[in-house]
Amino acid sequence: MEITVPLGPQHPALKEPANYIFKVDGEIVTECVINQGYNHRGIEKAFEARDYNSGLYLAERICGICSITHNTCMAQGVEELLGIVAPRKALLMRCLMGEAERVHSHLLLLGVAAHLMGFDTMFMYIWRDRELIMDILEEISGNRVNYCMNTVGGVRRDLSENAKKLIFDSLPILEERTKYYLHVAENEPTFLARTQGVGMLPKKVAKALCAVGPTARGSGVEADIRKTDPYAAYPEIPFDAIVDNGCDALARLKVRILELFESYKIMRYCVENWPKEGDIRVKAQKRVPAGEVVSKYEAPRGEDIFYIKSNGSDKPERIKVRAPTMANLPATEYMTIGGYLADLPITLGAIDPCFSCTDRVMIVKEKSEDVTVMEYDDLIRYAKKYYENPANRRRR
Amino acid sequence: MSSEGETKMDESKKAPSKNVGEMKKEEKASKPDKKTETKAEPDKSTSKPGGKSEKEKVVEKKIEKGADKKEEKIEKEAKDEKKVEKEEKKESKVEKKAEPQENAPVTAKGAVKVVEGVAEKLDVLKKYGEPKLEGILKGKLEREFGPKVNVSVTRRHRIWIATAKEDLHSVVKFLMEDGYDHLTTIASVDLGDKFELLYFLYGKNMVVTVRVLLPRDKPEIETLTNLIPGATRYEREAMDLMGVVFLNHPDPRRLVLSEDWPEGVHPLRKDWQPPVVKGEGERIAKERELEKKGKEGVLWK
Repeated sequence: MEITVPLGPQHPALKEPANYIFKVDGEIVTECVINQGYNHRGIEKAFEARDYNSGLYLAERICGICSITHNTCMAQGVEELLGIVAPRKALLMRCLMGEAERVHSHLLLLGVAAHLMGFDTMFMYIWRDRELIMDILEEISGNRVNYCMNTVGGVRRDLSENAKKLIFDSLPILEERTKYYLHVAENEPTFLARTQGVGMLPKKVAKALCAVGPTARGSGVEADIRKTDPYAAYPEIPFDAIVDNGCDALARLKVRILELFESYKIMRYCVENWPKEGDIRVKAQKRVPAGEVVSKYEAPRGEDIFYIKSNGSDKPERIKVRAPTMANLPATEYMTIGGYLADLPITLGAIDPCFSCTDRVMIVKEKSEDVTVMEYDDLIRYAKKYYENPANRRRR
Repeated sequence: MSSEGETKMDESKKAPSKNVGEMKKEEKASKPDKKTETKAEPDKSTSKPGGKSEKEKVVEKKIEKGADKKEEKIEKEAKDEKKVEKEEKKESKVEKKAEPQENAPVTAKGAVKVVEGVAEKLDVLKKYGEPKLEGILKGKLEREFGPKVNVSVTRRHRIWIATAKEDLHSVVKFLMEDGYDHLTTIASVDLGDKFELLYFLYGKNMVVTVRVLLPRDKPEIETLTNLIPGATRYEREAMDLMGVVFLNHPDPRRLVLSEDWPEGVHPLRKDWQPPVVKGEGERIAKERELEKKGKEGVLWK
């Protein structure tokens, strides 16, 4: 007898809104459908009403975790349309921030995965260590998330001596801890029992369903944009692309742990080779000549793509974003079939789903009952008033 | 849950699950195919039956000679391609310690326009190197499809192919057999009287974009899911937001729009305006009107 099990869009076990419908025969899943669209915010449409520089900040807010991903991807696309190239400092900064973000995202997922398989001690260990990288991000950019680092033509902040020191101090600790996590992933019976042979995705299927990122690399597909279509300063940075032929959830998690080491390597390279002099940005004009461009970026979850079409004005004609989770959903539907119902959380978790990235449009009606809603003008007024006080001003 | 809900769900999930389930069965049944390299097919014009005049025979001979040359060319190009691929692999190994290929020679045409009045100018080809594989693929496509395709190379790793919607499947099939088998996404653009669909294929480190134009009054095109199963969601997204109809799609449900969204309203089209909501929405609508008139009080300064 087959039973239908609906899960979500609002469910205590889910971190983000998505609707899964499973058909189970006893304990075994026979069918799976994923419905998305519960987080659609109309960002692609909203890009058309903003100029390119404002669009960068909107791109940052596509996702809370991969904010520099979408931001950099759009900035380098607009730069290519303009025909300018960012200075070396900016390119290195993009790599440095991108890798720091990858570390923070991978650690976040490994923690969540440990939690999903009921290994809460490891979850707490990993999230404690994640604070180190969050401190680095805050020291460099001033924010823990949504860093606002990029602008058309370069970046907005230089790397300070304090930040360099913090990075050099933190990286050895992170490396040591990550080695321990790799040891756990390879030897700990709890970890192996919950992940080995779970959510199988053969290489052939991964290719046919167009999987990307660690999901594809865990199935032996060599897909790393940093290697195959290098951007920013990646052509000069020595690192290895990680591929695992395990094809299961364990392989996907191991790919992420091994990628952490590569990220540390890249971060160290960026800081060691930081130019002593030079600009962090070049001046760019506001009007972008008509044309179209494809910009790619290796996000923590896989390949991110921006298609930008300009019409000669200061606003884009059309911007199309494809975030990596969208590409991995068909593969996820395949992975769950034939597995146990109890293995679902880790199978779904191992692709690191992120639905803010995936859904991007919806009109929100305001409902203000107890909450005070600040309008745009009020906020500006508040900000001006706040900064009139000299004590609140930021020292430069 | 009521039984109604269950039956609804049953209906909704039949199509896609079949798709995935079938794939699993197929995979078990069929052994993995060996890599089929595209070999030159004999020219069809040479194998025409029936009586021919002497003139025709002469022409035929010429064509045969031409065909021979063509085959030679193709073989040569195949060798070239392998060479270039090897070189690229070597490059990527060497790249680890070498500087980025900034000093690569600049010879090919079709670079992105360089704008004046900007501090630092970029020669795109200088940054990304000279296109090699791109030229080979261009030649292959033009030989295979002739005037049906319009190929342009903007820079290294970027190829744009414009074709008619009838030829889309043959072009994509040809590209897939040639190794460009990963579909990154499908973008839909509103050009006013026409819609444009862009299929971003990926392989051999290159982004190959196939471009198709559809008339606005009848935006219909055959689905690509029979060739690439991963295209399902991108096609559904375009159906929702741009109103392009993909014929014979296995699962033509809504993807991002909610169930109570009105039929035939597609928000990414240029003529769509958001409905006015009370309160904040009224203010925005007013400012939008002002913006049209060109007065002050623009929403986004």
